[in-house]
Amino acid sequence: MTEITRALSAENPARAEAAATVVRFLDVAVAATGRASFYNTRDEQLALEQDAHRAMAALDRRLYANLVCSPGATDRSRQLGVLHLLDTPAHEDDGTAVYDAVAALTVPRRLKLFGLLAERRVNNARVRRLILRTVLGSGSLELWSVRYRVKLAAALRHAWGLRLSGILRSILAKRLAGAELDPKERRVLAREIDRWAADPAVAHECVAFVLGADGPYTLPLPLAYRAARTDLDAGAALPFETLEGLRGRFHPAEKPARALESTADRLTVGQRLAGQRQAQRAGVEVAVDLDRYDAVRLYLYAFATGMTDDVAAALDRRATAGAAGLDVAGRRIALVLDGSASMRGGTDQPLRPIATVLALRDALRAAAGQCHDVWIGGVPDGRLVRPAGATAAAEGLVAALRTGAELIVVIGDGYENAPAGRFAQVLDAARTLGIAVPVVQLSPVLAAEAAGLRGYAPDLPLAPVHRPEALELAWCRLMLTIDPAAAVPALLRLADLEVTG
Amino acid sequence: MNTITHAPLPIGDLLAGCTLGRVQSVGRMQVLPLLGDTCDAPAVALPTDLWIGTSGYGTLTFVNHTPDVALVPCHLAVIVPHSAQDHAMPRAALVEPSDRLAFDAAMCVQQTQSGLITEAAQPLAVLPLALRAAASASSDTDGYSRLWPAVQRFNASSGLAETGNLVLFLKHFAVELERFVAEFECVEDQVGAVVLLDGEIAGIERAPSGAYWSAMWEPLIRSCYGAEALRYGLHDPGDPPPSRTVLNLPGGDGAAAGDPYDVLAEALRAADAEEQRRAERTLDDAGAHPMAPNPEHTHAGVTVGRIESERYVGAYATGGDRPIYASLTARSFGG
Repeated sequence: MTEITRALSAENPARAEAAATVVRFLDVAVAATGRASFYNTRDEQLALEQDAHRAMAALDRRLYANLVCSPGATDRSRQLGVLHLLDTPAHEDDGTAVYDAVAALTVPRRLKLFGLLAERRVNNARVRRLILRTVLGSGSLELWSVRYRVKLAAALRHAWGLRLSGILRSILAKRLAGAELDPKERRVLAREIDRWAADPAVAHECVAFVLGADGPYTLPLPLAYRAARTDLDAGAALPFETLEGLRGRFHPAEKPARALESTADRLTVGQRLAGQRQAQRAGVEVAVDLDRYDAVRLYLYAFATGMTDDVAAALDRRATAGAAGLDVAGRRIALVLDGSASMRGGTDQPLRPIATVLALRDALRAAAGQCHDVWIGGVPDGRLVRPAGATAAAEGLVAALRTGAELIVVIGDGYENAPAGRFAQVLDAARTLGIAVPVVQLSPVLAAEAAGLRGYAPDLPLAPVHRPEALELAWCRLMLTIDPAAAVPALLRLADLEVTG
Repeated sequence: MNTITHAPLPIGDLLAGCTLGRVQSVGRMQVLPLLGDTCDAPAVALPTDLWIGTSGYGTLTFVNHTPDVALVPCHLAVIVPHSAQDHAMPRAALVEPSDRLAFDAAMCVQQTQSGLITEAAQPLAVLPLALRAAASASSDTDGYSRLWPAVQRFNASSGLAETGNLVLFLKHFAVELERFVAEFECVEDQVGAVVLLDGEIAGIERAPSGAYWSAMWEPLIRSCYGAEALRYGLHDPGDPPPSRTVLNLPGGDGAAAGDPYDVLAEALRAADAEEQRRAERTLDDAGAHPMAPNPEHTHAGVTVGRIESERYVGAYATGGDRPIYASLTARSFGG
């Protein structure tokens, strides 16, 4: 029996507090961004997050370590999780959690994490090992060294310290110039670089490049980087954003399309989707692999370019995958879906809220035995729904109650205006009339808004979701408020731990 | 068809051709949408199409690059992010197609800032409700600084320094105003709104087209009505009622009323109908209220002018002898 199984069992008199600790941590894990909100300053926000991490780790450190690696946790939560694990004494149950959490981060977030470790002066043997193994052991070190040159240099300087970094740079510069290294210098390279490196020769050149040694270089990317400063065409092998940065700095008269033309076959998944329109304008063909996008991005793509059979099929596959972790097979569910005008979202990420609603709808439909959809506002457009109208959430609730569902899931931002407060009044009246079906809310929000979550009723169980991967974690958080013991298997599965009695 | 003359004009006539949408209510504020079909109305360029600047203190310039006449909305405020003295309009104005207007009776709303606004597309705002009556009542001859005392009172009443700098308020409450914008939603075919505060009409807005309304919706909600709702809340920090009408079950618990789902649906329908009825009745009561129009400028069949009564003040416009624009403010919210 795991710590969490004991903590959430009916026999534990402190079960409610334990469930509250897990709920608080899951709220932070799926939504924390570290940004200031309407309610809290950035520092207050950080203190709340750290407190939630500390309490969860104290409750069940093994579960905690695995949850921060789970797909639904935000990169911010993974970063804080790694910071907590590295800043507290190691535990035998930690296993590979730190490395798993770091591996789950995007490369920029990994480097940001290393920056946070430096900022907080967390520098012990585990930290140095983590940085050097992650950076020097990467098979993509050459690519990283041109794409993230400055951040990589900062991470290595934190691991080695300024003095040793300077020594290494001098030794590597000497080596690049073709001079013979003395035995002591070779020992330094072996101890500090070679033992971590996937390919020592590549690592020597890349470390020299990021630390600013003059060269000459033989690896294609550092070579291309240096050459592109004077001849943009010589940088064709570089990543798009790197070449675009060099174009802006050293060749301001050249058009941005030049960098796109040169790098069209090497764009990242996000760049391909985001750059479709720019590519079309520039007359550049960019192939798109739909299965590499999450459902929200697929819906955004469909809003921008139209819903095709290929996109619909990719959405179906995503929905099936997203449904796998939700324990609602065989249950009758009604969904109340907010398609009102506010779901258009802001100008920074337009249509993302409605795209998230549609993605969550698909996953819950795929998971449930039976599912009814009730829309609040919105104009159907094939599989898409275009945001429109006021938010008459209470009408949606009444329609959902009539379906005889065993569970009602409201998916919306909590803003209600026709009129505000009516949803809560209807829910109260339903309870008075003996209609006891559980009602929960998933709030599709942009990460920046997650701290200011708003429920349609004061005591409605509510979980934020800003990307489909977080649905399982958010769902688990909702189930904890309805039936804590039943949520344990989902928690353990999320944490990739064995489900036992 | 309604023909507008110098004769007193009932508010109902200014809203002719509009139907009412579903009322939206959040806290103290209610928005009753005005819906309309504007396809045969004269084309009017949007405020967002204009290039706006200042050529001197008190002179707002508007450049209309479009082939249609442009209507500068009443009490438009131009609050720019760069260091330049922000200005506002005391009334509405027309800018002829492919032409430039130098409006030399504009008012400074940033006493503590110098510098001119460079002519360009600018972010739009509307003066806070509490300043609009003072803006309309001010005399052009009193100079560009004439709104400073009202802005000073407005800031002071919001708990801020008593200065004639409107930006102080907008910056201080930027997050709250941003949040307020999210509360209300623009609905399909909307061309205007009647805005109520605590059940009283605070303003009536009608735009020449759906696109014009969409362009002005956020500036009106944020800096005009949102600012007033916020200031109201500062003076009366008690929680506003969650809704103006409450859903009631028959007999208190609905136990004897039949199928619980039918009971619930009927109780909701009745409560929502009462919410709508109260808002519409307030407008009906004001519908016959006579306003005195004062036409000022006509071009290509579009006439703009001031309009006022003892209760409301603002501007109006007609196109082809039909009302196409109105922006009225209740004097009782004059700070």
